[in-house]
Parts: sequence; C-alpha cells; structure tokens
Amino acid sequence: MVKRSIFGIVLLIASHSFAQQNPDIIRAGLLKGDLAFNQSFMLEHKSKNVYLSGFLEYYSSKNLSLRGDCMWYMDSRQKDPVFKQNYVVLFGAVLHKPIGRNDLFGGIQPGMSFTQPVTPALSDNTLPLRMMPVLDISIGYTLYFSKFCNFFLSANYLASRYRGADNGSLKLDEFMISGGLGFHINTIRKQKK
Amino acid sequence: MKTLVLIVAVVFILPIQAQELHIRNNRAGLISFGVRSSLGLVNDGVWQKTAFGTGAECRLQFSDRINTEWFADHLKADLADYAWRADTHIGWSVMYYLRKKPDPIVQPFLLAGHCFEYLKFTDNVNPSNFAERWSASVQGGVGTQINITQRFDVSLVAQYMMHIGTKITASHAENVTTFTKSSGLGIQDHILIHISLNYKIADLW
Repeated sequence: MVKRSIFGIVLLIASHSFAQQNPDIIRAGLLKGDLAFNQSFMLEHKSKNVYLSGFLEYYSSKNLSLRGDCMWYMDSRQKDPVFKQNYVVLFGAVLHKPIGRNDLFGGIQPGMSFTQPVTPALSDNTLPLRMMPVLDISIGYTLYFSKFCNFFLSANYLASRYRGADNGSLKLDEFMISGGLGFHINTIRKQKK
Repeated sequence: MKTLVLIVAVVFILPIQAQELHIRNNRAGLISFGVRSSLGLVNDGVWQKTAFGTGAECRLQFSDRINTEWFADHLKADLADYAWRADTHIGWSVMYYLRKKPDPIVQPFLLAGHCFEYLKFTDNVNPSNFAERWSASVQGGVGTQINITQRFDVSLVAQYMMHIGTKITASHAENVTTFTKSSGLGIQDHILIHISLNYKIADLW
C-alpha cells in the first residue's frame, strides 16, 4: 500500500514537472511517425510472430488524432509458422489524454490484411494470398522527451479471419506489443497569446 | 510533381484541418470522411455464418437534421465449413436526426437508402467452383452518432438490407459443394451492424 502510494506520488510529481518544462508539444498540428518491430502472440495458434510496422499520425486537437498503420510480417519465432505472407493496412482514430509530456492513448482502426497462410501438412491445396477485413484496437503511452523525438509503448489486438481454408476459416487474432523511438514535428506554429 | 503536391498538402491543408471548424449559418454543407467496421447477420440458413467487414464512407449534410452517407464496404463470411462468401456493397443512405439540437453529444437518427451488391460464393477446396451475382437493395435502420469533438464522431448503426437479385444457395454432400442460382429475381436479406469513425473536413456552403 505504501509502495503504491509512493509510486503514485512520484508519477504525479514527475508528470507535473514535465508539464511545467514543456506543455506545448501535444497540440493540434502535431505530426508523428515511427518504424518499429511488433512482437505478436497468436491466440488460436502456438505462434509468436515478428512484424515490421510503421505509422503516421496527425493530431487534429490535443485529444484526437487520425492514424494510419502498416505492418509487414517478417517471420515467426516457432519452427512451424502460421503465415507465409501477411501485410496489414489500418486507418482510424486515436483518443489521447496528454499530461505534460506524457500521453496516454487508445484507438480503433479498421483495415485490410493481405494474408497467405502456410499450406497445412495434410492438404494438397495451396492457400492463396487473400484480402481480408481486420479490426485493430490499441492502447499505449508516449513520452515526448525532446522537441522532435518521443518514446512509445503500445499494445494492440488485431482481429482477423482467413476465409476459405480447407476446413473453414482460420482464426488469426493476434495480441501485439511494440515500443521504440518515434519522431514528431509540429506543423502549426504556436499562436501567441 | 507528386512531391510538390505532398508539400502543399502538408503545409496548407493540415493546418486548416487543425483549426476550429467554422460553421456558416447552419450545418448544411458539412462534409466528413470515415472508416467503418461491419458485422453482417444473414438469415438464409444455418450454413450462413456471421460476416465481418471493413469499409469507408463520406457524409454530406444538407440541413441541420438531414445528412447523407455514401459508403463502400467489403465483408467476408463462412458458409458452414465448406465454402465462403464475399459481399461488396456500394451505396448511399439518407440520415434523419431525431433531435432538433444540431450538435448534441448523442444524436440518434433514422436512415434509409439504396445500394448495389456484388456477392460471390467460393468453394474452400476448389476455388474455381464459385457462383456470383450483382443485386440492388434497399436498406433502412437506426443509429446513434456520438460527437466526441466538434469534428469527430463515432456512429453505431443497425440496418436491415433487402437485396433483390438472383438468389444463390449452397449445399454440400459427399464432399461436393454445389451452388444453385435461382432463375428470375429473388430476395435475400440480412442485418448489417457497423461502427464508424467520421471526421468533418469542411463546411462547403
């Protein structure tokens, strides 16, 4: 209980001190992007996949941004992968709760995936690359530690189905985590009061 | 040339979008763009499973209480465990807001409209075994627009779609999938539920 209280107080002081240092990074006109690796955990298969991902995000106000993501499946960390190819394109909106240089966010992004699973061992049919609807829900945290760079951590759930496998659809839902260095720039000069 | 267009877009268009939306006179002329995620509930037989899809839409408002929605979406679903279907819709709806207040946080609405659909049934094992059709449909339903900010809203909609066209049914026996198309026009209906994220770009007039 004491530890939690101390942690809470430290977090509060830290966020306030950051806020005093520079409260004006997160505002309308902020344009943000990054390139990172995502580690995914498939919920219906014993597979942990690695994606190269990138996003571009534009803040229309300090609490709302429009964001587009691309993900490129690189490989699986298991011997028997589920995917042969998988590319994901997402577009949606993200809500933000900025506190000084800290920013908590959550968003929804519908999109499409271009997916080709590995052909099952007992099947003669090669499964083709197909376009599939997907839905992504994400939450995360960003620390804007300089004028042009930020550090972010995010977790997202990607809901996806591959239709037309031999015995019906393949459930391809993935839970992903990602983090790293991002870059941002304010496209609108701050208005003088 | 492409680079020039991109630079112009970044320098001029983005700052405009970040400013407060200036609304002239009333809400007529508001144009927004959005994306949506859909669920299709088809009732042609137990072999029809729930469809899941993605789409995009544009809304153009004509008065404080009348809006129009122009949409396209693509849904896919299983047909039992032996085939799958893909639906592509392109159409439009008129939305009538039920509250007089022009921009409440929660704005319920009725909608009705028309769309075209391309439907394709495909065998899981043999993709060259398929059946397809084009149809026209009418749709109507209810929804709620939740205005998160002045420019951004989330909308939840449930609508009934009635497709008028050739009817396709699927059956499977002795490991053979058969698609049957009826002669003449038939009616195939389903319920479409979607959540959409919409962003107002400008007030055109």
